[in-house]
Amino acid sequence: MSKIKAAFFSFTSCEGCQLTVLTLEEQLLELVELIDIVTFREAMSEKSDVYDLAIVEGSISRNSEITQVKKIRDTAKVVVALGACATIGGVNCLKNQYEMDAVKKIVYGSMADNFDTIPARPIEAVIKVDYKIHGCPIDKDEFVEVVKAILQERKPRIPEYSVCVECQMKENICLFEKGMVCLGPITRAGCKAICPTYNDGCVGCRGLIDDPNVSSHKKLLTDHGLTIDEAIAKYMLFGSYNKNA
Amino acid sequence: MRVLIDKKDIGFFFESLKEENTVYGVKQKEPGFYVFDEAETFSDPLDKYTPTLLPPKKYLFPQKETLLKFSTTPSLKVKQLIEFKKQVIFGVRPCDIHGIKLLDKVFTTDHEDKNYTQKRANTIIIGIDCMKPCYKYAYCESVGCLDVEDGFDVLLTDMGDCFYALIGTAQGEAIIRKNARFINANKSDDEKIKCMKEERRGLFENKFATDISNLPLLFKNADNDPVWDELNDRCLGCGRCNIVCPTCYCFDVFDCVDLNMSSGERCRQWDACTLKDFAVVATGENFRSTRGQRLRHRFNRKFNYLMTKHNTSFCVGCGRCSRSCPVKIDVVETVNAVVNNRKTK
Repeated sequence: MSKIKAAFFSFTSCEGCQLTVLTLEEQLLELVELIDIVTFREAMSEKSDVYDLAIVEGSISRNSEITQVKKIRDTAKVVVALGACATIGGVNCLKNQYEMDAVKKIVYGSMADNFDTIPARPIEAVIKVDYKIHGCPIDKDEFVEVVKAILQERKPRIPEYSVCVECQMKENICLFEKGMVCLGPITRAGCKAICPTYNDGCVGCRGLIDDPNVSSHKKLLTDHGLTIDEAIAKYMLFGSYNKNA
Repeated sequence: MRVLIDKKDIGFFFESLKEENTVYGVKQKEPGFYVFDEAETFSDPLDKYTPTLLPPKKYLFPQKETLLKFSTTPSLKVKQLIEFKKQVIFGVRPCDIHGIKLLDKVFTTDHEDKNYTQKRANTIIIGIDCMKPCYKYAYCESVGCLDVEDGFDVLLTDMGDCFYALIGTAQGEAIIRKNARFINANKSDDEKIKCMKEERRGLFENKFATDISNLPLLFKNADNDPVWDELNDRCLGCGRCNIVCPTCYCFDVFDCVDLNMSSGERCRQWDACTLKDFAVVATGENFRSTRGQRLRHRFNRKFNYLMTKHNTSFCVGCGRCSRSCPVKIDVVETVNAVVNNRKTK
């Protein structure tokens, strides 16, 4: 059996999730035994237009990216969305609250007319996505799990429960009990609760759990001293993509 | 057998146990928050103590453990894995001793879970009795879990200058004889303990609006109680109440294949009935799709289903779930809402 050809692609993102893949270090050697990486701009010079598996980082925020990502979908048998920008739109979608002309002016000033921009969106808003690897950045073990699942043709084991489950299993003190706030109760786990473990509230980078009780959680935030606007700002950091807009 | 151990000798007892066992004790993680952890020296925050973040269950039924290892090449090989070591859990409170007793029941009834029973057989439990309520969330007396008669090897009671050590097992006697400096307790010590226990009665109240024995029937008839709708709106479905519970024992089993794709292990990890996908079946249906239904199930597990099966409360009153719930869903309030809503019918 010939090895699956895999290609990495970047759209609007910091490429930190691809960098996280490179930090797999000794596991990378085992990984390239299983898949043949033919395109990976951040790691190698070679590239190829022939691939089975497309691993796509970044959100779509320009018309030209729509064309490019559609071509990737037409070529690849399997498409994986890599990281929060690709899976939920990520922080890029913060700009969607503004008019695009205003956004361009803020960033590019007098050169604004030279650039094309559209409201940012996860790649699923443009093409069909087969697997999602959540997080900002991704968890590298979850990346390995998804690759193994693709090779075994099974559903990857990605948590559908909240960050609280992982956080509590690690015996962390709940940040709410320390007078802080956290999006952990409504955010999908899989990050090993890394932010609360280091005493920083979850910012929701992995997206919401399947049936988040946002109204009760919002009350929890305001009970802990946040104004409604501050609570909404917390949700908007990673959750501002609105598919109905 | 019961003996007295002078307080200045308790450290010696603790140290001495470390020679042949891994000894876990209570540590303060941050002010007001305690955990069981491998302990260098004995420290018991007796006065300030509140139940540990996770119960000592984690040493008998860990958050995640490997059940078997397998390899598929050159031919399929499967090796069962049961990990255990000689361990002492030092400073277990009556509620948690009851919790372990209940796990003993579930992991031996109908089917012996050897991953649990092997760990349990190699575990020495040194309890410390509670003479006053530890925090506002506890309701051990309401569920009959303040008094503890077995389930420990040694149970210490603080008598001021010394600990009165009640020996519960032959193993407990052996470690006292081998590892402790002690004198035998006499009748007047027994009397003193009896008096102390009488006196503490007044400090621990029954917080439930009915006797615990009435709960199975009350919960059986409370499927459509409005309390579940109210909790459905409040509950975040985060699962913390399950994770901190000393008697929750549900787990998920999954295989994890190594990157060589030919070997791997089968693991189990704690699961939680308040999570959305807990009751999802293979074809996608969810038998308990709302948070209210899932919480109702959790309460029924504690006060109805398992209570009926094993004839004892499956809640030990430690209050961990009430304390750790971000939106303060409280067991005592919920039980009393069910009780009072039945009364008005």
